Amino acid sequence: MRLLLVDESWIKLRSLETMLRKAGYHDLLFAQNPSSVCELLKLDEQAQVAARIDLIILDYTLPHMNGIEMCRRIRSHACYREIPIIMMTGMRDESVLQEAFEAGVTDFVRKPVRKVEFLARVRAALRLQENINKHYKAREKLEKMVSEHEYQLALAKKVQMSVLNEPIEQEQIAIQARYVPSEHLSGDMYCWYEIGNGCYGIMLIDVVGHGVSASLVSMSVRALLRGLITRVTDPVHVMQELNRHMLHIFKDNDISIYFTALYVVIDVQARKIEYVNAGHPPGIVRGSKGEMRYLSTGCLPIGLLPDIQVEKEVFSYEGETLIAMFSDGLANGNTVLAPDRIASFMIQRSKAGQSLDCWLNEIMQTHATEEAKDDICLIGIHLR
Amino acid sequence: MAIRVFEGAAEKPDVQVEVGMVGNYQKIEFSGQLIYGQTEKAKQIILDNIREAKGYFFDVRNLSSIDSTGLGMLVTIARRLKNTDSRIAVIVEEGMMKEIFTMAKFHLIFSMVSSEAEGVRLFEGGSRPNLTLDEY
Repeated sequence: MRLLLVDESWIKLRSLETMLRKAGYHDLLFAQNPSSVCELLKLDEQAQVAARIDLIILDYTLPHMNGIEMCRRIRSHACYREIPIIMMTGMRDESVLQEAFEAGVTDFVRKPVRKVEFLARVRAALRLQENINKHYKAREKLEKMVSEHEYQLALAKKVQMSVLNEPIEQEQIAIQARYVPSEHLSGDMYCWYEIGNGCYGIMLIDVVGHGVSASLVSMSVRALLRGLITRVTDPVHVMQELNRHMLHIFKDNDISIYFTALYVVIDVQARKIEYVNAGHPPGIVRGSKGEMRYLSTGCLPIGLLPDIQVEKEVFSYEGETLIAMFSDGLANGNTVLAPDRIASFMIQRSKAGQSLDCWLNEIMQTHATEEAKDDICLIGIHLR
Repeated sequence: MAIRVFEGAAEKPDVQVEVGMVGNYQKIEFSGQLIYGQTEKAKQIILDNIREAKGYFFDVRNLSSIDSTGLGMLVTIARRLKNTDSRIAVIVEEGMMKEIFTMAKFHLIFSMVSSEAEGVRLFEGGSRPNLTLDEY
């Protein structure tokens, strides 16, 4: 521990030094006037670099300025806002004591200095400084950890965003999505692939929970989807396979890890749609004559139970058809009302000839709040 | 998955769990929000208070909201009870909460009843829930 002793009397400084050295404090600095204090503490330098001092013991009586003014001068420097300062004074005036405390003095030693009291106050002040140092070190460590954590999350977000599909714009089909994580990482995930012969598979999943854990599950599922969608045509088999995968991976967990999903297969040649909804908010189809259909047939969420019964629905479409698939973060997370609100929007606002891009932007503007508590994912499909 | 807050419903910040008996059956009654961040607390209260019974009711009539984590917790509890050869029914009234269970297709694994009396009739009438606990 390094102590700075400030007193205009050289004799008094020697006396304090003797007391302190006997008590085991050997790292001592001395100053007899304010300018020496300023020099030692680098108070006049612009750079915010603190001299390594753990305690300042300051006499009230100094040349050119008193101890209170000196204390204010020290405290005005950002590096010394917390350092303990003990003031030595023979004054008994309460208003002086009050002024000194207001200036930032930590403690007092009455003059004439008595050894027992003096050393007790020095020890207490140094304990305080030790705790302050520990606190700052812990805060520094924490800030470093937070910064590293933020960096890693940002990196992970980039990875997650990089696996999202590019829009499809073909003569008979256009597909686009909007994707807004509520935190850095999202439990929502989507993908689409051309299966071949004019068939497209479009999948939207929503993993239980939020943030890192949900995103880990969604990314592990995402890794499977390309192979599964392009090799297994029937949506029933796709969902059963995903269910087996989830139960296999997370079989020993004490908590239920599962996801809801909506998987749609569109055959643009045969103008046929088949889908399975696994406990997900229903997708909405708006036909060319304004007729609406909710995509709600399916099965339990994926990963809850083994050997689930999976039911699919198959139907045909004619002319311009719009499909909205979304996670329940849309419409302020109101799961029950969201499908009706989106359907109502699709009836009232979707204009013939409006681009898919405009249509999705309008839905997001109307139904996705900035302070979303949940991940938001919206897929728009335009069939022509 | 989303925090499902009912519009117009008074929100309570925390989940509350009360465990009691209805005849030979144990009733676990939830109120407040059974959502992400609250489910561990609820699960611990249930596991600390669960007793051997012929059947169990999850009463969600006083819940203001539930999300996928809350629904998942009900399945976790059901799995814990799977060796007891008991039954489980969810007491839920018509309305948004029931729609959430239905939309998530949880009506396929839990019997849904609107009151304790209906639940007791279901259990004692011999009809089976959609899945037995062994199938959880």
